[in-house]
Amino acid sequence: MNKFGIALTGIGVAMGGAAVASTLEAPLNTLSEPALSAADDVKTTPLFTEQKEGDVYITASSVGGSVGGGVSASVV
Amino acid sequence: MLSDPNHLRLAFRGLRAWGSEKPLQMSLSASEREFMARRRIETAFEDFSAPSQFQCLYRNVFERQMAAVEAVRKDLKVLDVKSRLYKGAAVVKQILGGEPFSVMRDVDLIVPPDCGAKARAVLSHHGFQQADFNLKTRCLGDADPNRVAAYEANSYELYAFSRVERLALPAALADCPQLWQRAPIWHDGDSVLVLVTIDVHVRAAEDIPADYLWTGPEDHSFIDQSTEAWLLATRYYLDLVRQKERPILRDLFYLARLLPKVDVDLCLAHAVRHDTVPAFFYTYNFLQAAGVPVEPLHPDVLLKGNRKNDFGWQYGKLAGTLDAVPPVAA
Repeated sequence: MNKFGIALTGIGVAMGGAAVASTLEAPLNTLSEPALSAADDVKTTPLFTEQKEGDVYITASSVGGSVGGGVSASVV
Repeated sequence: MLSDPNHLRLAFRGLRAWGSEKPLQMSLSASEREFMARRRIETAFEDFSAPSQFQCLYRNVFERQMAAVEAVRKDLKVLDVKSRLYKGAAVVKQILGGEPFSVMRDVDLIVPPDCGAKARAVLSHHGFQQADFNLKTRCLGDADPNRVAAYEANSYELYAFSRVERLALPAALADCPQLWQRAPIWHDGDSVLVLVTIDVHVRAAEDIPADYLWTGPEDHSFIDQSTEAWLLATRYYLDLVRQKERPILRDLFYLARLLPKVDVDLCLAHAVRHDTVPAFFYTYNFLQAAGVPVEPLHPDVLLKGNRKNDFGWQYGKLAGTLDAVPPVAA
């Protein structure tokens, strides 16, 4: 609970200072490191494809909208 | 793993450090880097005085984008058309000393509402097309005119303008395109293909008057930072509300450096006027709690404006945690 009576506990836990367990993986010190393993799901999901239709990358990124419109809004 | 909680913790540790202007500098493992890349913060962990090959590439891409947009702005000025940068490019230039930590899909430019036609002509003169990019042929193809017209009808922006450029491919990057290739840069033979895209806005959103974007000195190259912060914070929060996955953390990193420099009263004035106080409040106080050096907003500000767009914190969702039951129900 923060000073305003609003719970931030969960977020606080997520952002807490727990040690980062990155030691299980080799550091990316050189660019000659092999590609990510096939078991890693990043291999099966292409990066940043949300603007893609078939083979075409759609350059216009916005869907339009209003600020005051709330849920359906896309602001800028 | 995409949902690896250790990666998420690292991202938020990075955000906390970034907000305090003492960035967390460390070598990322391949999967950590991939995780951060999806959130567009992959080189925010670097020592920029000794940049990696990735960061050098991102700098080069940003420099190409800026060179293109500044050439366009120069010609717009000849035609007495004022223009300003905003969103990512403006933050990188103004707040981050020109140092991007990922690639930006496009550069956003604002022109007066009655100058869209002149902007279109200037961009065409500079070789830009309102076109989409074929990933197979690596060429721009004219976008369907009906699609362009439909997109622009009553819109706050014109259909995106794009131009293909190329950079020499650094040898060290040739063997690992999967680690850097993403829109708008692709590995293509012995070069990096860069799709330079400029978004021309005439308003910030359908219901945001253009006036807000033209305050301050006439020849200023950027919109007011407080307005920028309000728009960035509002967009981010509303995207979270929309329940779709919002993996990009870049805007929070931008805001972490931007918020200490803004006039919070002006942000709140915009927010009250446009029913977006909750969006600004929750984002601002989330970042404050994450270590951004600003005074927290008192929750009473939520009572100043219309609550119709108050969807609660939402940031627990971003962090993979639950928000607690509000005290009123306890």
